[in-house]
Amino acid sequence: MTGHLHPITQVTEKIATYFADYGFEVVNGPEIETEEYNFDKLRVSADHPARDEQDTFYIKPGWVLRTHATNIQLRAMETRKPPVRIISPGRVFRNEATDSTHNTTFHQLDMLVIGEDITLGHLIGTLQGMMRHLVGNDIEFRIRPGFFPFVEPGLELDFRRKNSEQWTEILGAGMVHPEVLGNMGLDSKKYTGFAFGMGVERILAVISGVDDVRHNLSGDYRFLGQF
Amino acid sequence: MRVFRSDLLAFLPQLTLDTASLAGMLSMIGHESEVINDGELEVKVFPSRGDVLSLRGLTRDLAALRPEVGEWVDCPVAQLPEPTDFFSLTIDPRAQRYVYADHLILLSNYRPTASPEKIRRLLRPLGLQPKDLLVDLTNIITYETGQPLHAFDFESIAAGMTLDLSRSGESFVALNNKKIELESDLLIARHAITKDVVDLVGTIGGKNSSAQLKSGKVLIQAAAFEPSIIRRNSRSTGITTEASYRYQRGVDPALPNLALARFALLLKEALPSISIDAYQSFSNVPVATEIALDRNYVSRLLGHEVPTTAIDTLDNLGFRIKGSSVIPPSWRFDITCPADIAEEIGRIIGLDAITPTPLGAKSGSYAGEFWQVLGLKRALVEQGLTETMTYSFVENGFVTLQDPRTDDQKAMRTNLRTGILSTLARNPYLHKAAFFEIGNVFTPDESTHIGVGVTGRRESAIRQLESTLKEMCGLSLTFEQVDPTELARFDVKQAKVFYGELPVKMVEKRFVYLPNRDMTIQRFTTISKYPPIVRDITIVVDKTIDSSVVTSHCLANDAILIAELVDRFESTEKLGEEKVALTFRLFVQSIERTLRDEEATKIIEQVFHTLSDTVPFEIR
Repeated sequence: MTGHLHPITQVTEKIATYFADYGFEVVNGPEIETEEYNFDKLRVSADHPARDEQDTFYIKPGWVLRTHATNIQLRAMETRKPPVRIISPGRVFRNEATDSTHNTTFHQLDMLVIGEDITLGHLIGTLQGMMRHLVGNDIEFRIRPGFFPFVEPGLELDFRRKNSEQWTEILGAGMVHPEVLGNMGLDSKKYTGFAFGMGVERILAVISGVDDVRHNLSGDYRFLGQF
Repeated sequence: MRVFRSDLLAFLPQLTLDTASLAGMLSMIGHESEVINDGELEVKVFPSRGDVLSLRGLTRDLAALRPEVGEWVDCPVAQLPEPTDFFSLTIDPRAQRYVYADHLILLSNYRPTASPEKIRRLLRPLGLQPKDLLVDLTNIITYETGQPLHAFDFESIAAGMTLDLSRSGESFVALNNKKIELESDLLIARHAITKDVVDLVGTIGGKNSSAQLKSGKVLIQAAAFEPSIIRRNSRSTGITTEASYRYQRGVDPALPNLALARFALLLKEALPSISIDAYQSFSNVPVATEIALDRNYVSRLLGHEVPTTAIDTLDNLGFRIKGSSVIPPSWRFDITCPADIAEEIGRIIGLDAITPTPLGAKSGSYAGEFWQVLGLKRALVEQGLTETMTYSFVENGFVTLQDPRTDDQKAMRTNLRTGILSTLARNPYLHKAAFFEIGNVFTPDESTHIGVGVTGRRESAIRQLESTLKEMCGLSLTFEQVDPTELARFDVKQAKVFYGELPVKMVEKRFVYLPNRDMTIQRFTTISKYPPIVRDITIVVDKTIDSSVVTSHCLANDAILIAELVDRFESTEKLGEEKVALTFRLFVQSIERTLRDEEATKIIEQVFHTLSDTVPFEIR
């Protein structure tokens, strides 16, 4: 009988394999997280409207289902010293209505690089290298300013195939905010770093053409059996 | 924010860009824009950039960063009367740090008036129906300048007003006729004598001071507050208004004067008989912090030199350069540290101008937990199992959600059984199947489990699978048959289902992960909303035939969604030395409708008929 690896696993594997060649460590973290690690230490404070950008499932006061895999980075930095290169894949949750491009449960892959001479140029180079690995060499990029409270400057990466008109928004990234470096116990005068986060389902849609994000958690063999 | 290109011309008279180019340019300076219709844009403004939530703010930012759009012209205004203290406005010491500015004008002889056509037209991008001239004008001023305005009935509060913090247990009836109970420490306005709450500041006014009371004397307030107090007002009461949305994101404390002067102009034009009797201003603008302008830090962060012209552009953006530091303009609540200056420099030079730099290779390792789990998954797939992924939410569990979306998704799963059984239920046409899932469960502690469900095998084959999984995958699973009542509850159609689960930390094998750098991920074919017809077809072919030749041939037909090898049978006795029997499972579908059995048969016959051109075979 033919077995199939879930396409989300395949995409994660393809990305992790690429980054293993750059010395990245793959780190896991908890799906139930404190507000402190999911939000506050990442500068998404309760008294700022940025908190409303992510609809959150609350478990009990102070505890949430993580809304991104960025929490893992903070936890990873409690036991690591720079230079650091990590990626953190994981299941994340948003309390929002579902449709073909939104789901309450999806997968994110985050990255963190910290060192003494890490620049936005490194971030852009890394993102472009990864995208070429995933989609092919025949693509071009557009980099726009982006807003995520835990990075500054922040950016959004768009790409398109060379014969295409339309830009596709693919991920958000930025230089780790000095306050977040401080929350990681690092001296922001000495160290700089970059971070990005992307939806694995989004990457799958781009490289494979999956037209409805809900297929991923449907258990439908007509989906699973295709990969 | 919805923006009409034509409305931007008031501030950028030389703008020649078409809507699409304008959207592209705005996106590249951080205001992601999408063309809705020709001439109409939807602009997504960062939650940190309240200053851009208006025609004036958006065009000011654009003109400073991209001079090619032409000169920026501020909106025409009327002369306001000399400021006087015509109204008794006091601010309780506890509230003082939250109030940045409070400007007031007094109108008299106002009678409810319908807006003239010119005003009505300006309302169009806001998606608002014209109501009354005052209401319409306050909305327009907010859209133009970003300044929320509040209209009080002057007679109701002529005795004066105190800005204060609420006490727990206080309440008031808001403009929407709802009684609102207040927590302590919200920013409110009180009647000077009765002490009644007349306004939940920056959020919603009280019915007791509503301008709809029509005394003819109206007090128009333009104010600025510390953003987090208005957020508290809004969150605590669950009320979000256009005003609270903007105040939370920051309203420029220098804006109220301009907004009232603009309001006065539009009002006088529309209603020449109106009298603007008095103007009063209060300002308590916090001292702007100086931020180090450290070019080395900025270029180290960006990986790009800071061009000297960038400093001029900072000046255009309203920053004051003071030696080796800068003072951000009053409207930029988001600029607090040197990294924020780096962001501005990035917007000035354009992020696309930064040279991509490779990170440099470094040897990695495949020893960690992630690679072990991946090794386990690959070993299971090798044994013919398919990985499923299902939701973490179930009906009952130890860890429950405060705000579940549905009743059967109230808790976090305590095992993976539910997911595996729903996966089988989802695929009633798979008579023989084996699924596994690896995921986190909450008992209530969080840990990673593996669950395996198998159907379509005899008990002896199940025991055989147990020992194979132990040997090849390090899984000491004991499969137990799932009770028929449980299968019925999950609507599982397969008759005999076996299930086993254990924590991943009990896996007894270390996997050596071999990376495949060239792995490809299959293209997805759209799944019909109509059910498939699933058939197993066995053919006898020469042992030299590669089964993938057959599956590729089948998949070339649009109606075949999945074609895969499910069994391989060799028998010298029955088939001879040279031959092998291959069983393929085919999923036949139609995107438009439910296929009839005979239609599927016809498609399959056709596929195998053409197969015989390349692969000699016999149907078994």
